[in-house]
Amino acid sequence: MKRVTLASDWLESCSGCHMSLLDMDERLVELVQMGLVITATPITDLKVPAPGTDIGVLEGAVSTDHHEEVVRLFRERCKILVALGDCAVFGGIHTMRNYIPIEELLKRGYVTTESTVGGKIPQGPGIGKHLKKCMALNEVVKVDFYIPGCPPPADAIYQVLKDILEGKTPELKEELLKYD
Amino acid sequence: MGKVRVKIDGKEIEVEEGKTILEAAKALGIEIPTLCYHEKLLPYGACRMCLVEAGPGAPKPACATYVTDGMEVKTSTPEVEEIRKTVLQLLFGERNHYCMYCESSGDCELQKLGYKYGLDHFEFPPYEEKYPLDISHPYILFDQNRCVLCRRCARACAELGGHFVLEVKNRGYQSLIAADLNSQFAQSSCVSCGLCVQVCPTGALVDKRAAYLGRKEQAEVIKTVCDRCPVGCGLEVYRRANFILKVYGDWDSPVNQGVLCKNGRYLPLYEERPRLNFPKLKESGAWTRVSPDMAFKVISEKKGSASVYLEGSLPWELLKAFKEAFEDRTFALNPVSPPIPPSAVLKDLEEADTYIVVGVDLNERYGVVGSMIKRRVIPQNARLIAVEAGSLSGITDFSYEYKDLDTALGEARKGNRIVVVYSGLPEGISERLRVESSFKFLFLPFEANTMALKELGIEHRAPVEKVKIFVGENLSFTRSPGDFIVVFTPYETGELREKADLLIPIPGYLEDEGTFVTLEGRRVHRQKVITPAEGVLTVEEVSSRLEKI
Amino acid sequence: MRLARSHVLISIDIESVASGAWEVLRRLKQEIDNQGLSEEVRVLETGTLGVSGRGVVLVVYPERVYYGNVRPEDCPRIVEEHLLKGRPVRELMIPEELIRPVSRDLLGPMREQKRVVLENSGVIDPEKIEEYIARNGYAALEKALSLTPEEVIAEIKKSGLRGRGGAGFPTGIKWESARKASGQEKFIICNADEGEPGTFKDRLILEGDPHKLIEGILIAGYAVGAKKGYLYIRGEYALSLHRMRKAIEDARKLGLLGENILGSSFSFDLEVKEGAGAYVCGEETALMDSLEGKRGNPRIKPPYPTVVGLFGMPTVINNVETLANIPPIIYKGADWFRSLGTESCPGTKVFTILGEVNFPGLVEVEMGTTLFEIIFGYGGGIKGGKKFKAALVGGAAGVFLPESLLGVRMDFDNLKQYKAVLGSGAILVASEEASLPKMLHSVLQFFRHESCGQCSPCRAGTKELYRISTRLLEGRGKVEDLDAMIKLSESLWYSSLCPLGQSLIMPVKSVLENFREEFLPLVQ
Repeated sequence: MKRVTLASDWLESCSGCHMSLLDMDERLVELVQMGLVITATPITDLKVPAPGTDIGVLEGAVSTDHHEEVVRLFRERCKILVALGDCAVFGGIHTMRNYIPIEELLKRGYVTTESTVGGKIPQGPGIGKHLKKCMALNEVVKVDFYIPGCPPPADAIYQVLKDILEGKTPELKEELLKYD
Repeated sequence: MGKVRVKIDGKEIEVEEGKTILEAAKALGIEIPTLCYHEKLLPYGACRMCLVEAGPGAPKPACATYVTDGMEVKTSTPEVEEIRKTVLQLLFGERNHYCMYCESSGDCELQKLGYKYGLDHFEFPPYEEKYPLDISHPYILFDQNRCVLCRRCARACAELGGHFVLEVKNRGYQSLIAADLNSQFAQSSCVSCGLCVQVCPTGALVDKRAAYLGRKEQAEVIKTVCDRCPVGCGLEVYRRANFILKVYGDWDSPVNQGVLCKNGRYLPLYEERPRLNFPKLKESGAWTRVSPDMAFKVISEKKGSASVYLEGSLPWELLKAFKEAFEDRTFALNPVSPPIPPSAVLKDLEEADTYIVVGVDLNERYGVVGSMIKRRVIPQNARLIAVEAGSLSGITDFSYEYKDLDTALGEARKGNRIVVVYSGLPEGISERLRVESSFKFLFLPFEANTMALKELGIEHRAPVEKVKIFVGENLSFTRSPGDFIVVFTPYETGELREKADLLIPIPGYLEDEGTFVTLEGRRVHRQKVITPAEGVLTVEEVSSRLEKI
Repeated sequence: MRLARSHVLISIDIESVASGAWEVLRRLKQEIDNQGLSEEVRVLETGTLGVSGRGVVLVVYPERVYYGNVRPEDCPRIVEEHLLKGRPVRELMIPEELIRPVSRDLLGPMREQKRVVLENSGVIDPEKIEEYIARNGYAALEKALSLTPEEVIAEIKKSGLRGRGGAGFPTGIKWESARKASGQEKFIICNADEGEPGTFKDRLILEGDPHKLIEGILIAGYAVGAKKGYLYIRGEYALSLHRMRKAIEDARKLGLLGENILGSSFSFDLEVKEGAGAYVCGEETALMDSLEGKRGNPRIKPPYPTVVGLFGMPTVINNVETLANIPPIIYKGADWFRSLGTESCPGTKVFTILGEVNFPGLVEVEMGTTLFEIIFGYGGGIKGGKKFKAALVGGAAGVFLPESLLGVRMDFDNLKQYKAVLGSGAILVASEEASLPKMLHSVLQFFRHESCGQCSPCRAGTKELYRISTRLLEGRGKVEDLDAMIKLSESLWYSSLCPLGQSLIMPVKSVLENFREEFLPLVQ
C-alpha cells in the first residue's frame, strides 16, 4: 500500500479548521486505510514536517516572521501544499489588523485591555515579530490547493484529501465551496 | 414592433425588436450570469459579467445589447468564461470582500457568482485600504467595503424612487457611492424608502435592524399588502420566529412594483410606544387587569349612551362590526368624503405630462405616489405644479401658495394630460379646481381604509358625547369631566393611561388579517404575518364579542 | 493700410507665456516706441511657432531671424541693434540650421514639412479675422455653400480623410451616416479635449488658427444638416478658450456664424464649452454625456453617435485636426489631398516629438513618413548624442517601439501590422538612459487616475496593474508578475466598456514583449 504522508500546522488562526478536520470522524480511518499517514501536526509529538512529506496542510494567516518561517519550511519540505480555511486562503479576519499600526495594536491587546493591570507587550527571542501586513498563504509561497470556509465543512476536507490520495485533481463543487 | 430571429447557443428564437440578448436567452431558458443587471432597472452594462460572444469583435454585454436579425450568440465559450473569472477576481480584489463576517453571506450575488465559478482563492489580494462605513442613517447601514459599484442603488433611487439622492462621487478606483454627492446619509435628502437596500446585491447596503438576524433562506417570505395608507402597495415580509426581519416591496405587485416608502417599510418596525398586552380597567384611579369578558360587560352596560369613533386605519371587518353594534352612533375620526369626486387611477400618473399636487406633501405621506411623480418630473418627462405641497415644492420651479391658485392653474393648463393629486382641501379651493373639465382628479383618501368607511356609510364627526369609544393606533383626544372613555388600541401611551377608563388591546402592524379598500376602490386582503402577545384580542374576537353586546 | 518695413512675430502660447512672453511683448513695444519706430515696425502676436523648450521665441521678418529665450531686458538691444541699425544680435539668435519647424524652404538634406493644417499657425495673428481671410480664409465655406450637402460629403469621402483624433475612422462615411440618420435636430461637436499626454497639436490649431477650425465646423454642419455646434475645449487651455471665443465673436460680427450665412439659407451657431479635467471625456460618448451636464461616463456602443448622440440626436464628433483639414480639402480639392500621404491614409499628420530629442516640438508631415525621419530628421536625433532605446508612439495608450521598428511608415494601416496605433501622433523618445519600467509605471499611474470607474475591469484592473508595477519598482516583484500584467491587460482588452480600458494592452504588452530584459533585474 502506498504511504502518503501528511503534515499540518496552524499559524494566525483559531484552530477551528483543524477541529473541522477532526470532524471527519470515522472517515479519517477510511483515509488512513487508503494510505494516509499523519506525521507532524500541532496535536502530535512531532511538530516539524520531514523532508519529502507528500501533503502539507496549513491553517491560518501569515502574520509574524515566525509564521513566515513555518510557511517556507512547509513549502520546501512538502510536495503538495494545501491552504486550509479562510484565513489561509484569503487572509480572513486577521487582515483587519492591517489598518492599525502594530504598536497600537499590541498596546491595545496587552496593555490597555480592560482587565489587565500593569500589562507589558511580550518580547523575547522566541516570540515572532509582526510583519507589516497580515497575508494569505499564496502571497508568500505558491499554494497548490485551497479549501475555503470558516471553517471548511468536513465534507470538503474529506473530498480534497480523498481526491489527492486517489491521484485526482481536487475541485470543490458548489455545495462544498463555502466562504463563511 | 417587428420580430427578429436570433440564434443563442445553437437554439433559434424569434423575439420582438427592442429585446436584449439577456431577455432572449431567458426566454430560451439559458442563464447568463449578471451582477449590475436588475429586471426593473434600465440596463447598465458596466459590471461586464454578462459578456457573450455576439459576432465579430469584442464580447458584448448581454443585458445592454439589443438583438438584431440573424444575430448568433454564444453565451459560454472558454474565452468568455475566462473573462468572467478574471472580472470576478478583480471585483473580489478591489475591496474587502471577506465573507466570513459579512451580514449578507449566503444572500450575496457576488458570493454566488464566486461559488458558481469555483473561485477558491484570491488572485489579487484585497486592498489594505479601509473604505468608509456610514452608520449615520437611522435605518440603513452603508458599508463601502462591500460595494461593487454596480450602481443599482443609485439607479433605483433615481429610476424607481425618483429621489435622486445617491450618485457616484470621485472617479476611477476612488469612486464611492455618496448621498447628495458628499453628505453623510443621515444629513442627506434621503427619504428612507429603502429601495437601495432592496436592490443591493452584496452586503454594502443593509437593514440595520435585520442585520445578522437571519438569511433569506432561513426566513419565511409572506406576500401581503401594506396598510399604512390607501395606496395599498404590495409587500414581501420576511419573518423568522414570529419576528419581522424586514419589509421589502413586492416586485410583482401591479400597484407599486417593488417601490415602498418609509411609512410602510421602516417606521412601524421602529415603533417605540409600549404595547398594550391585556385589557385594563381604571378603578379609583388605579389600573387593574380585567378579562375580556369583564371588559365587554362594561361596554355592554354603557352601550345605550356610547358613541364610537373609528380611525380609518382599521380593517373592514372591524369597522363593520362596530357599525353593526352601534349603528348610527358610529363615526369617523378623520374626514371621509373626497372634496372633489375622483376620476383618475394610479395608472394615469404614468401617462400624464402635468401634475398638480395640492396641499399634500408626497415626501411625507403617500410616498409611492410621490415616487411615481418625482421619477418623471426630475428627468423632465413631465411637469409638476406644486400648490402648498410642502417639501415636494423643492423639485419644481412652479411652486405656488393658495392665493396664487389662478396662476398655478394657468400654468397647468399648458399641458395635455393633467392630473390633480389632492387629499383634504381648504374652503374655496375645491370649487375652483372642480370646474377644470380637462383635468383628471386623483384623490388620496385620508387614511388606509377611508374608502371602507365611506362604503359603510360612516361619516366624520368630532367627538361630543360623554361615553366615547375610540378605536385606532394614533389616538389623541380631550377628556372632559364626567366622561367615560373606552379605547381599543395596540399601544399604551402615557396620554391614554391618563385620559382613558378602559383599555382593550387590538393587533398592531401585520398582526392580523383584514380587508382594505384602496384609493382606487380595489379590495385587498391583508395577511396576518406575526402573532402578538397572548392577551391581545384579534379582529375576529372583537367582532364576535361586539355582536353579543 | 500702411505697410510696415519690418514685422516682429512673437509666439504667444501656453509655453511661452509661462516663460514671460507677455512681459517681453510689452517691453518690446515700449522699446520700439522709445526708438520712434512704431510706424515702421509692427509687432504681432501669433500662435506657437512649434518650437519647444526655447522660452519666448521671436521671428523678425523679412530677414527671418529667430531669437530664442528672449527676456524683457534683451529687448532694448534687439530693438536698437537689429530693428534700428539692421544688425541682428547674434548671441540671442537661434542658429539658422536649427529652425526646422517653420522652415519655408529647404534646409540641408532634410525634407520640408508639409504644412496644411498648420499653414497659418505662427504666420498670422489669430485674433485678427482679416488676416485669416487674407489667406483665403472662409473661401472654402463659400465654395461648399455653392455645392449641395451631398456633394460636399462626396468630396470628403473622395479625399479619404480619416479621423485624426486617434481612431482613424473615415470622416466622409461618418458625415454620411449622420446625414442619413433621422432626428429632430443634428449636432456637430469638435473634440478639443486633447487629453492624450504628450499631445498638444490641437492646441496649436486652437491658439494659432482658430478660424480654420470654425470654417471646418461650418462646412461639417452644412454637409450633415446641423444647425448647432459645440466646441469642447479642455479646461486647462485658457488661451485656446479665449482665442476661440474671440474668433467666434468676430465671425458672428461678419455674418459667418448665425442666420443665413453668406446670404445662403444655411444657419449655424457655435458654442464653446469647457472641459473639467478628465481624460475619459475625450472619449466621444463620455464627452457627449459631459456636454449634457452628466458625469462623463462612456456609453455603450451601438448605438453610435451618428444615430443616437448628443441629447439623443444624430451627432458628428470630429477631432480638431480632422476639422482643420476640411477647408483645404474643399478649397483645393480631394485630388490635391490624395496627392499627399499614402494610398490608404492621404494627407498630412501633425506629430508631436517629445522626450530626449534635440528639437522637441511639433511637425506636420505627410502620412507615411518613417519614424526614423521624424525622430532623427525633424527631431534632430537624441540629445547629447546618446543612443535611441524606445519611442512611445500614440500617447499614453500607445506602443513602445524598439529600434528595429524605426523604419515603420507612420500611418494608420502600416502601424496596425506592428500591432501599434497612430493614436494622436505623440512620439515620446527615450534614450538608453531612460528607465522603461518607470515609464510604464507612469503610464499605469495615468490610467489608474483617469479611469472613469464605471466598468469593473478597468476600474479594478488599472488599480491592480499599478499595484503590480509598484511592487516591481520596489523590488518585491516576482517573475510571474510580468506575465500576470500581460494577461490582465489582455482581459481588460476583452472586457472593458470603452477604449480607455481596452487600450492598456498596448503599452503593457509592447514594453514587456520588446524590452523584457529591462524588467528582469527587478524580479526575484
